[in-house]
Amino acid sequence: MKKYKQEETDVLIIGAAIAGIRAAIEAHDQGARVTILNKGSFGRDGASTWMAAYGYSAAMYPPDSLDTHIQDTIRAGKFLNNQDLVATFLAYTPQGAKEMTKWGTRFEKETDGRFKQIIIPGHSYPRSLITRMSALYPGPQYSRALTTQVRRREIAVVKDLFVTDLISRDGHVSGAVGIDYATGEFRVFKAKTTMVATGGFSSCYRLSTNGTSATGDGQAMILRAGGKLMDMEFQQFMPAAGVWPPSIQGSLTPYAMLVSLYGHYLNDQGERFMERYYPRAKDWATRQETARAIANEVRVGMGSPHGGAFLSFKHQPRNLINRYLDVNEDDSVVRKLRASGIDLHQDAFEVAPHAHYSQGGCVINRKCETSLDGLYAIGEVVAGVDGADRLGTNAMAFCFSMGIVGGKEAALKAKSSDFPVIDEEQLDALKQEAFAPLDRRTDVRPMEIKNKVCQLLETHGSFSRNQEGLDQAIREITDIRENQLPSLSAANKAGTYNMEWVEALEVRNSIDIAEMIFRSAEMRKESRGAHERVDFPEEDPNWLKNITVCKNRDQLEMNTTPVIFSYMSPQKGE
Amino acid sequence: MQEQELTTIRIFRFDPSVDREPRYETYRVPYVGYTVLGSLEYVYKYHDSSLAYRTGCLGKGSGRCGACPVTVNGIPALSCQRMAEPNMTVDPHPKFEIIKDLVVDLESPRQEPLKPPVTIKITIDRSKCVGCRDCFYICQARVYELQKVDGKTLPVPADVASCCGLTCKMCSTHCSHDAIKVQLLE
Repeated sequence: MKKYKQEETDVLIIGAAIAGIRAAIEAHDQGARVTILNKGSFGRDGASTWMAAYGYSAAMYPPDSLDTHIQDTIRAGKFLNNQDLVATFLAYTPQGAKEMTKWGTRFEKETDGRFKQIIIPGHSYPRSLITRMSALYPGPQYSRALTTQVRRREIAVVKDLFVTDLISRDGHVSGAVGIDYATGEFRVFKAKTTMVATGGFSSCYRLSTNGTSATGDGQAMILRAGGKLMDMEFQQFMPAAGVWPPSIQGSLTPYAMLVSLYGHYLNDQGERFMERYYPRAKDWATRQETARAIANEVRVGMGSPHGGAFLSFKHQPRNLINRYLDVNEDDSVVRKLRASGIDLHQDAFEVAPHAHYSQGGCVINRKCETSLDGLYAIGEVVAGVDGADRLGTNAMAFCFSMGIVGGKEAALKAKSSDFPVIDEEQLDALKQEAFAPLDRRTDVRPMEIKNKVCQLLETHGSFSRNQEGLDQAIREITDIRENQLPSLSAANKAGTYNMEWVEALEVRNSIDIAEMIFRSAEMRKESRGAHERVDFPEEDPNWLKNITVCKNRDQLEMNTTPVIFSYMSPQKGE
Repeated sequence: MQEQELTTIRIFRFDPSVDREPRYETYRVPYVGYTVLGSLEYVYKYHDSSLAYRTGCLGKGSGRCGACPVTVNGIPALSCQRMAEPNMTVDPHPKFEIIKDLVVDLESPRQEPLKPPVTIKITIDRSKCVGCRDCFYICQARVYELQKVDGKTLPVPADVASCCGLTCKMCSTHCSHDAIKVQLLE
């Protein structure tokens, strides 16, 4: 008699957001039995897609072309992208735009019926589709369109399921295990092919524009399963999302306000410090430059009370501010500022750099296959499409395209595969790991470790990285892993919907993520794209290679692999 | 850093797997500049990590993922958009099955949903409505039903008592023909 009920499916997809859902649709339409799991309810929590800002990029009409889109992407990625992946996946973006439209996303059209496209920095042509109403936040439309397609098909959706680990042995993955939030049960999913679509790790940072779910669970479980990761040092930030009042924390609207209303950043002395850092561009320096300057003010003790900078419009005429407030009176952030007692005519509020998108993640090939047999990866969890810095509005497009490709490949592979045999002793060990924070009677709470990891990431894993800081971060994260993690224990011992248990499991993952970030950043002795080192401030052409990480016994093994310029080579002076 | 003013928040607690009946627990939380969700997070972090509530997008943008509907002082609202105020009572959304505390299953309406007082008016301008049903699909609280209107099957706001009102407005925000108005009932 089997000890564990093994729920069987052909294609198991971990993560129900834009990439995972598109893969589920594709795999189903290829004739596979599909089960999709989510760390939250369906189409709402447990994903970042539904918070996506702006649009979806695709080269739809001449004079724009797929080639130009590929080139723009590689240039933005500072030539560290996997060019084969970029070319393969971007080719699907026009198809993706049409499918999303057919399924109910109301992308705005011109009077002649063509998609309306706006230009975003880094793109050679206007490429970003926007939704007709609420251009800034198309998320609910993506949700409505994609979840409806899933519901119309025989796809099993398992909600509120936290996947703790992949079932991996001898280089082959047979499925995954996890905790059912609602009941506290350990569930085992056996599959012919498994696909990780769990998103990024921006939520490992104290300040992120994402929800709470992007804690790098996929990258961590792939690492533990023996897979290979890459580009972990490249984490993209948005320079000035809300920090205080707390109701606007993480909101991107302040940055849009800066641009429309010509705001100024002030430090805690009331100084317009951007004039000092960038005498010409001042407050309208690039996103990277702005983020660096704000982080630096905080580091030298001139930050605002909650660890950022003040954003002020006090210098603007009253009627200009009033007109903005009238036009945008319905905007959530405008309402929240008013309700919090902030009068833009005389008060400033606080903003700071926020982790936004993770370029690093799992290594895949053009079929979305990982280095482990039977395991696929798609979406933000993957590395290689964005290189050293993601081109804005490429995210949704890439994720959707990978869903098309990965879903098809996983389904085809499943057709020619048998069900694996899973060793129950292995399941015993995985269950023990998953339940450890509940079972232990020790005293290290998840919040304690989380605060420490966040502090290390903010100080050493963000801007102005340097050798000394990274060495220290590596020492401290190793200490956390060896001495604190074994005592990690949730004070709340309930089985049902135990948020602290989930937090403990996420914290366990974030330790691996942080260590990969620090080691990769330490190894890359140059500055490129989203990775910035004050001790190596220039780009170094000798570093036109990717840093890969895998686990060897219990240690992280770092390697480099040169970029293959199959499509485009960096010019001299690039 | 200035001391934050604290207030009392009363929160519905119920674990169907162990409790025979629900109870309320009270905590002291900051509220100035906070959303209700922010106050709940404060309870979880500093008072009671056994509190269960849903968080999705945390209300970070003007978007709404719709994961966090609750009831505040008897009226449904998205906890990430509803501003906190002194002496709040927070209950789960009245229409859906309770999983634990404030966490409900938004795909499973209760056998006997509670009916809060109606505070919202939803008007659909039928001259603008094209019957695309986006509102019906996008609404997290299942306010809309498809009914025959002049021979066509169209979305009708049938359960306005469950509507999260001005804290949500996903229907009117995403109606591409600007046909919907969500207003406070005067």
